Amino acid sequence: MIVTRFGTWWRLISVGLLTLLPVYAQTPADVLYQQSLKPLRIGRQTYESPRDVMIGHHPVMMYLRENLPGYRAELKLYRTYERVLEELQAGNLEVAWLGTVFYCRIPREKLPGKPLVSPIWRGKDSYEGQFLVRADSSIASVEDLRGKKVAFVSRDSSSGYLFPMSILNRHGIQEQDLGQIDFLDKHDSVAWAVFMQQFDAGACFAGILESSAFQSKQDQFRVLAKTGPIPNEPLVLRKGLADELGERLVELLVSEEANHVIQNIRALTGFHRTTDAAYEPVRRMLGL
Amino acid sequence: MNKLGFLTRTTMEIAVAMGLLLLATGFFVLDRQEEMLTELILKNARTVAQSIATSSVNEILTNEYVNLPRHLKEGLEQVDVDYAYILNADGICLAHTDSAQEGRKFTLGSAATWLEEFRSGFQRRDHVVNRSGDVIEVVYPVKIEEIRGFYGLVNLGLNRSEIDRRLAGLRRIFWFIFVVAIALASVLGSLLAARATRPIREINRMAARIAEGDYQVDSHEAEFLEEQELQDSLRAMAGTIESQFDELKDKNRRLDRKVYELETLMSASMKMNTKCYSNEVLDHILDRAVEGLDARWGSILLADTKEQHLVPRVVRGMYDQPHRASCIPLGEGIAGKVYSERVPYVSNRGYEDPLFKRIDENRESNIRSLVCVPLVVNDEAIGVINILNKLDGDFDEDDQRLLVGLASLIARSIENSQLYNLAITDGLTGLFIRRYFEDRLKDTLEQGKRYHQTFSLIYTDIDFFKRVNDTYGHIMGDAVIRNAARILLQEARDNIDLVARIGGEEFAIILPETDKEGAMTFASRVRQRAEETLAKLSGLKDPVTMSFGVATFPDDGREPLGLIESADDALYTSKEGGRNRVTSA
Repeated sequence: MIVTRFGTWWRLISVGLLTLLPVYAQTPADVLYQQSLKPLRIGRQTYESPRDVMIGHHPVMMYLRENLPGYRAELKLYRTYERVLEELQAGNLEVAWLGTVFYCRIPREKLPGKPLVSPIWRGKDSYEGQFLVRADSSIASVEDLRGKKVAFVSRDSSSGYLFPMSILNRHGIQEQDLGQIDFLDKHDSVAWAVFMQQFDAGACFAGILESSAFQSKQDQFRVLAKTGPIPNEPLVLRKGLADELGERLVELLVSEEANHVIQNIRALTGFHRTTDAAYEPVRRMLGL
Repeated sequence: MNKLGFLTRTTMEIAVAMGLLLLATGFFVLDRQEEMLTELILKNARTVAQSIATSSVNEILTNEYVNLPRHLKEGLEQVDVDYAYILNADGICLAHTDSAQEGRKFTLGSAATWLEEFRSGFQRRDHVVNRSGDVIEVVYPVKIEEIRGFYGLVNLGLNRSEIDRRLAGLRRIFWFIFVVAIALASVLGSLLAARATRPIREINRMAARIAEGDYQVDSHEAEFLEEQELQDSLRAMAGTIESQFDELKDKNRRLDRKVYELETLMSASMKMNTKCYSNEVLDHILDRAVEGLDARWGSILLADTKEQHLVPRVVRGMYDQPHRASCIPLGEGIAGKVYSERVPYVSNRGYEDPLFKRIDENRESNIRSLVCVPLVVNDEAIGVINILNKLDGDFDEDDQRLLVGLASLIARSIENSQLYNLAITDGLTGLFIRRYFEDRLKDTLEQGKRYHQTFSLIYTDIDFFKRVNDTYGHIMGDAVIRNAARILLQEARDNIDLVARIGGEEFAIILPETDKEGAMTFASRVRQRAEETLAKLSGLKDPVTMSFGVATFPDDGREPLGLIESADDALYTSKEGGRNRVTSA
């Protein structure tokens, strides 16, 4: 009887296994593989079309997936840097692509992690802001801007407001010392407003005159002052994650191979290694 | 006749054929329409789902879900759903028609399965339609096709009853169109059939008119060449039928006449076979002749060669009694000429005919037409038969031929009767002989028994006849016997009473339907006449009388012999009683 009862149980188990085996066998191997990967979620703020951004960064994600075994790289988009930071701090992101000014304004004791790399936009690892005037303008120095009509991009724009304002501050000029100011949202709008003599001067991204729209008109502008180099935005690895992961990410993103993958994507031409120290000048510039 | 008319049948067939065609087409179209409607609804739902997915992708990518319910609501304005929702790739409900569901994670059911399939890339289709249950679900992934990225899904739950309701509406429209189409098909079929069968109905009408005897049938104007040809053929056929029918009628009339002639001749022959020559036979034949020739009057005249006259023997219509008709001298008038020349004569000019002999102007002026045929026996004329005034039209050769046939029968009858009479009559007196008398007595007695009719028998003889023979000789004796017979015949009723010579000077008379009293009266009258005239007629000086014995059936005898004995006994009594008297049995 006992032998018989054990035989029955074994048979039931065997039947159950044999029944489940085809189900298991039907599941694609790559699905099982994908399910076993750890997430590598890279969060980024964007004002552009999230869909376009997603498509634009897809080669980078694929590059990371291929070269970072055990992880599944994935881009997460948010409308604000605050959301990116929140998600990072909540553990929903492994890497946060933060803005330079936003990062620098985070109190040092509250930094969510450490910067790994910074993007190289159009071959430059930093950018500058500038004051533009028409070539035929009577304004010869920063001091001449006092009481003048000046255009800015927005109050959040580092190159279009924050850093240019620091130049004025260094020359003892406050915002109220200017004759009139306005925010035109876009860098090229500021340049066009100056060109059209709607404003006496304008603060904007230093590379604006190199864009195709203004290449033939460069001699009709005069750069009154530049802000000095501002490091590009940092990609911050969440605090608590293994350093090996960070190091491996840096290696992958700064490699020549990565450059080949990245160079065809919009203005991004590569990444370079960075640290928190690289942003100290900015903090100083911002008076933080 | 339960057969349908061609028009009705054609109408029904066209309606049924069109109905079946419509039904088959309708079912095919309905099935196709249902399929198309379903596909259209699904396609519309898929488009809406795709639109919602496309408009939601940026929000889902940036984890900004505030606008998703609005996207969902705007999208659902285009489609009628039971429920709809948007899930992100983790199965979190981002927007739902039931807002209470928002934020909940869908980890079970079909939604979880699709999520997994879309996420893993296992599901290659751009959308999924789940038709199981009461709801048809149209699922569309939120994705970026270029990078094969999956970020969520949109699920629209379409109520199947809504689709069924639309399909039911479609079916109602179909059946309405079907019924209307059938009605139209019936009307159209009727019109087509009426048009198609018009020539046939026209020909049918013409044929019916022809069947009614209208051979000059008119017709409507033919619409088609074939119809015209058919009408022409029908008219030609009608003409042929008419001519053949006329011919047939003529033949039929002649055949009827022949048949009638044969019937008349046969009837007359049968009459002759059962009757000997008598006025009864002549009456019968004359009646058939008048009737057969469709005439009004007729007469049979027999020649009295002694008087050189044609004496009317039987007359029909014109005169009540033959003796009132005029005797016609032999060789005069039409009858005299026909008799003497033995050639039939037909005159449709009547009394205006030059040969007509006018005897009684008042009566003969009514004669308009006549046919006269001689009665010939052994190449010798014995009389003529006249038929007068044909009721409709004139006498013709057919009438003459029939009358010749009847005349032949009459002549044969007269000839036969003459031969027969020679066998059954006494050569001296012309009275029937004893054997014939006995046969007739037997017949009369049988008839009396059957019909309970009385009749009387009289036995008579000439008183003291031996003395007449002895005194005046046998020649005078024969004359007395002949004159006694003549008296008896004159007193007897023609064709009713039978007078026979049953011995030398003995006679017997059968008086049908005559009782004792009548018979006594008759016998007394004869006795008186004999007493008064017999001697004178015979040229004798001495009176000659006759004695009579009368017996009556059934009182005096129920059998021939008994009756004869009764009459004979009564005669003996008269003899014993002194003669010249009548004694009843």
